[in-house]
Amino acid sequence: MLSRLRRKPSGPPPDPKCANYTAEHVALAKTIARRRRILDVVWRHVPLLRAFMVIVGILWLLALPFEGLWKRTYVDEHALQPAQVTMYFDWADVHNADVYLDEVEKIANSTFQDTANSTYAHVTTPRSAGTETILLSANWASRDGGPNLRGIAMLLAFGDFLRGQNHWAFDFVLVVGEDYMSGLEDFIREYHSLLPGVIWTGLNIDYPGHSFSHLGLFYEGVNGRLPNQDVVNTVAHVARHAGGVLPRYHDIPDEHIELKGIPYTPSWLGNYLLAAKHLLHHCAFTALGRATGAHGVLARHRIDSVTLYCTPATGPHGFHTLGRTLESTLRSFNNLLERLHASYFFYLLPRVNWFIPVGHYLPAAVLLGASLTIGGFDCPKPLEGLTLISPAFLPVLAAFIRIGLPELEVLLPTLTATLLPLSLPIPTGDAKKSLESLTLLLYGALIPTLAMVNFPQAILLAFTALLYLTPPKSARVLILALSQPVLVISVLRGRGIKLQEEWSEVGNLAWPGMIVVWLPLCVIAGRLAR
Amino acid sequence: MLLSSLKLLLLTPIYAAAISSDSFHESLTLHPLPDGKLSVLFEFTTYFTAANPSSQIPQSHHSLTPPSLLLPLQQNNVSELTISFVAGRWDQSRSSESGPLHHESGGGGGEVRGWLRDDMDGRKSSSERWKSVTHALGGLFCAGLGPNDAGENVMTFGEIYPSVKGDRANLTHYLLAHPHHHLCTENLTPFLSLLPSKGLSGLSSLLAQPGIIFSWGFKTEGIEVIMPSSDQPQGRWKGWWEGVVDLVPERGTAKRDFSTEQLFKRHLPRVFPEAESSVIRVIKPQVGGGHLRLEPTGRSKEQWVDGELREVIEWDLLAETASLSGKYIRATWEIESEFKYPRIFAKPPITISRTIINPLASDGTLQIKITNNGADAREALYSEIWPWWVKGWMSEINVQIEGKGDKPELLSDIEFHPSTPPKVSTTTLHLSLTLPQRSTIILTIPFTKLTLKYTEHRPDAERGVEIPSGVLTLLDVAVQSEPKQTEAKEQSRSDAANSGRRRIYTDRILLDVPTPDFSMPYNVIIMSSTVMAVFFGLMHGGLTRMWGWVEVPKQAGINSQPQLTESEVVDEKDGLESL
Repeated sequence: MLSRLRRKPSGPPPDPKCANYTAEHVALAKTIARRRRILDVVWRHVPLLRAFMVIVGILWLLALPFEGLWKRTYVDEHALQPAQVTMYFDWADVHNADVYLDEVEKIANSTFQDTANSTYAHVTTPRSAGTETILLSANWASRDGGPNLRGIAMLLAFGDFLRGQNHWAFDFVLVVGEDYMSGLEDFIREYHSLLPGVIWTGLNIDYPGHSFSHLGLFYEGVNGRLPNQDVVNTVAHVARHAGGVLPRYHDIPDEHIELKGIPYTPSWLGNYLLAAKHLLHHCAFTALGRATGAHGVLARHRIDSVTLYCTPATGPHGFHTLGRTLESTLRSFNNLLERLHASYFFYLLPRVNWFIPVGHYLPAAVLLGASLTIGGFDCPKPLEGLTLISPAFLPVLAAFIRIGLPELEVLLPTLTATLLPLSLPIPTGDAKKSLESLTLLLYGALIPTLAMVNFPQAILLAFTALLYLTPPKSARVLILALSQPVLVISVLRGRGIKLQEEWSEVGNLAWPGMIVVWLPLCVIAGRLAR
Repeated sequence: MLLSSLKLLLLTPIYAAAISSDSFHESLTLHPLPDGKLSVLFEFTTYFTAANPSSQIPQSHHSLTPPSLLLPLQQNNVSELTISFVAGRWDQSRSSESGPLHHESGGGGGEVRGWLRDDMDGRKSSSERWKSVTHALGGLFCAGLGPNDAGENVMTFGEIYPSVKGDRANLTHYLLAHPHHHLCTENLTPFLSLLPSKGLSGLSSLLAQPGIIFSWGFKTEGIEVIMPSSDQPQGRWKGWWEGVVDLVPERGTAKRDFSTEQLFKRHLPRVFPEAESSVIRVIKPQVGGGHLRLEPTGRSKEQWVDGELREVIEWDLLAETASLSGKYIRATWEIESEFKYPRIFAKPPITISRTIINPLASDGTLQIKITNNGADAREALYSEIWPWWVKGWMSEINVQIEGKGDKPELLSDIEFHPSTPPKVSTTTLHLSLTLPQRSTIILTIPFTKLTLKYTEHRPDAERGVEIPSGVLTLLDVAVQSEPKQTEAKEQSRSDAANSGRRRIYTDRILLDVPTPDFSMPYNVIIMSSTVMAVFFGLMHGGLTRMWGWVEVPKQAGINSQPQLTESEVVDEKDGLESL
């Protein structure tokens, strides 16, 4: 397109001093000439512009942990009215939970097995019509790896507690899933043939320790899907004001980070580091589309839910605090007449009580994507480029047919990323330029689109594409060699991240995404670097 | 002439009162359920006669009957009418009953149905009269009962709710379902005001306590009116109210003993003076009924209740005023120190459930599971009412028996009345089924949700829309009201077909509707669409046009001058190359 705009006019501009021209003609001619000059300058400095956009994009990312880009959290759905109810959960219920705990401990010691299944109870509250349901779950395995016995005891006691209370408008399903995530996933897939109630909201309890000091909220769902922020805010507000326990995001202490080695860390730096830590923890999960807890499997089924993780400690909180937090939160959920909507789904949480709205973080991804797109405008031979780019997507076809097979996990990426770039002919001249441009256009369009759904994943893709396609040739070869798919996959496996299994079990799209988006990029980058 | 008609007008009430045979009967039935709950049913029945149907001058005379209820019916030539409200959910699995004690109460929410006589004069069409009568009664009951549009009326349920009088000639059936409706206090007050005792004396004074009865679980309220006609001068109107109370306290000793005083926080009232009968009944439970001790002792008799021969204890308040008025009836469970929640419940003859499997934004599949627990195969009709935008795929209906695979022969007939979408209309579906003994039949009906217009979304658009309960009509039931004692002993005590319960309802269902977010993002959508349109125009202009200087060749006779013009790109080849 730029080449089109750049095209030189056929003749020399007319002499403005000529008597035949009106003042209007002259003004217009000046505008056209000025526009041309600007476009020429832009066209000559496209690489500079691209570099500028990347730098601004990175700076924007680095600025995200600064308070200036944040907003205070608030509860948008007025019906929720968090922490505004009288709670009835008391010490008799705590005793009940303790009794259940004894029983559960007996079972756990004898038959704790790793099978993907779940047990559920349907609590029909006296006055509900059975059309809407709230899900409450506790799974046998905790995120710590140990058994989540107290979580289950809490769930059972809460089931008892719900009996006879006639202020509930929703039914409840209480689910005890085997394993960490797979039991709940199994249940939610089966749910619709079991019960008619529509589930809008849910809570998942993870209470591995003896007592707890803070309530950690894990909110990221599969594929970076987040619950409506009202759910997170409601739970945080209720925990603080009704339960009397300080909430955290993930398990990160909400305290300034002190740098080691320096005698004094200024408070702005401590704040910055703390927010950066929150965001990095968030990215570590969502960039690969991974859920942070069992609540994550509910996100795919349009259920807004979070995991309440009771940070193990020697005190001071226990069943009483947790029970009251659960009760008050569920009473808020009970007020809902309709699904939480209000477009409160896109956010980053840098610290408790603060959030970054979508408009404040999205430009970073758009800038990075735009930098790629601009590079692709100069495409001398689009049709030839198209024939060159298409073989890179051959492995996608192969994978599509046999994506479920385990041997593909290592074999296909290895073969594709090494053999294909080497075996295909090396493009030269205009053809090479066209291939590069089309690749830039394709990935440049993909990044901002993905950023809307899963921001960290889009940033990851943006950096991958930038590093594969823009540095000098020698650097690119090095980067490609270091990020060979087989290498990356084995590193991930070493850290216990099994993407292919997550795809088949909970529907994490990162694995198909790797095959469809990343492998072709590897192939093309390999060909361009030769 | 004038004088004589005046005399007639003056004397009519006296004549009417003289020939009136209006009578009022009330009863309170208590039925302990196996899960520690108690079903409480009030029934108020008034028999009345038409004032003087043969007279030319319209008359209305009311002693026990409420004019506000009967006049609209009379005016609009209604033959029979039933209004039912249901709140909460009847639990078939734990109550061992397919539905509430009162068989006329409909599915979830509000429902009004009735038979209209054809108007001989033809002044108003039956649908107009239906509209005015439902609106009038809706106003009376403080509930929107009338149709917003004539298309909401369902006309194909006449087989399912047959006329009590039996004669269908010149009658049209109407049904309107309001599944989103909730029974609440507002509906109780008008109900009480219709009763002759007005909730002030007799059994109705026990009911006139919204604070108590609305804290109970499942609740249903309704009226059934059968208007007198020329061939049947006696009419009947019946009101019922039923609720389910949890007897077992949440804390403390789990005992399910109860007394009327504990239930209603009142002593038994004095009898309503106009009542011809006033009865309190306790239906003894199937399991452990022998241990239920009742004080004071009542009259025991055997009665068929929903296909089972049950022991019923009765107290006649008229006969035993002295011993009961101001006192209470108490029930205690002997040898039961603490109520143990049963692990297994006796199953009702038929249970039914309905869910939506494979729920997507655009499609879904209704899955209806009907279990026949009895020893005989049953003939039944399953009916659904859908709003126009639910488009069922009739060719894809599948019938199977759980664990035994497809059994298409069980579905013998489909009666399908599709909606007519541009107009507001409803789809109705009637499936004739055979329910084999001791098995579960699974019916799946795939459907697509059509796109609703902006104006058709509810105010709480993200909630979804309630779909009325499905109705299973049993075609083989018949009431043989009084059992012959000798026969009863020989025969078994249970006969599923000997029941007044013709219909069993599924739960309501909340159907998600693909909904644009009507709140904040509207401005976002408008804004981003504008930006995109402007951007498109810009790019389109940039690609197809260019500014430049075009020398207009000099022609003789014209004072030509160079023109600054906006010229279309004419050279296609050039355009392609430059891309």
